[in-house]
Amino acid sequence: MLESTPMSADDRLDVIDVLATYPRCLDSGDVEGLAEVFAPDAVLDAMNGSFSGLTAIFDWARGLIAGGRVGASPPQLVHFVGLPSVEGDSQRCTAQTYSVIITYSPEKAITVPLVGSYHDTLVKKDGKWRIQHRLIKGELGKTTQ
Amino acid sequence: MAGLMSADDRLGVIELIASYAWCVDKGDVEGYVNNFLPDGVVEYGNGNRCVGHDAIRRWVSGLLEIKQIGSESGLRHVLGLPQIQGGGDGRCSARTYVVIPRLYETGEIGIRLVISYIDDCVKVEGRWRFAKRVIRQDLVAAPQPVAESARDDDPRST
Repeated sequence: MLESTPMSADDRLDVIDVLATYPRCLDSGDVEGLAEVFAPDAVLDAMNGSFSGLTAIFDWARGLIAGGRVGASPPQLVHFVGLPSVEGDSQRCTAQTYSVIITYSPEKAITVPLVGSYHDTLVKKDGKWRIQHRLIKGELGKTTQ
Repeated sequence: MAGLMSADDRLGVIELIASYAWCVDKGDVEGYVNNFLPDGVVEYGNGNRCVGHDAIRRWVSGLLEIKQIGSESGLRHVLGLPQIQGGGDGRCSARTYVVIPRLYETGEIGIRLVISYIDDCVKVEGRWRFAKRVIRQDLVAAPQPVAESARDDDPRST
């Protein structure tokens, strides 16, 4: 087992990069790109259920995209992710991040149907940070997406 | 100015600024207060000012009591990337935009406020704290009826 030391600047920047990759994947419809976000045995507790392992998480993302707005081209929905709060060491950390869901209608109206938050546990394996567990909570708004 | 700010110091300041928002939205008064130096200053609204932990604690506790902050406020503080300027002398300044969405009675979410945090930060015993935070209102939406759990009022934002 690797010895835990304080998180380095590189660790923090790598974690921030993982957190930033998630909205890019969803908003562009890049389902397989989520392999750069979640560990192979990750658990995603979303607002519509719990999903274990990358295959189940991919299927969850495909379900969102099948809804027609997530990952649409041209874009109809954006996950605007705020500044994360990250605490931990060189091997394991937690992160909390707000996500403002912004939608765009054919009439060119911009609305905010949901403000959510991500509560993550990340681990570093083989030198790469990945989300081991993500809990998605609704903060404001009533949508179940 | 004593050299350049290290990446660790910059990230320490980012973490301070990010954790502040979660303290506000969770209603963590002591977490909020402890982000400031013992003689730290908060300036907000039209010349309002709190100096020191006791004054900051009274102010924040009052805001929590009337649900202007905390999990039942109907508000959340979503921060942008801070601009940080400083040297290697354990002091820096930072400016951060904050978007504050609010849940309205209709079930819709609107952007209630866009504010700026203008901070003077100091590193003491290895940890960054606010010496002074100025909360500046940039954009303020007209009041609307808010959801049952939240109040609408004078936007003395945090």
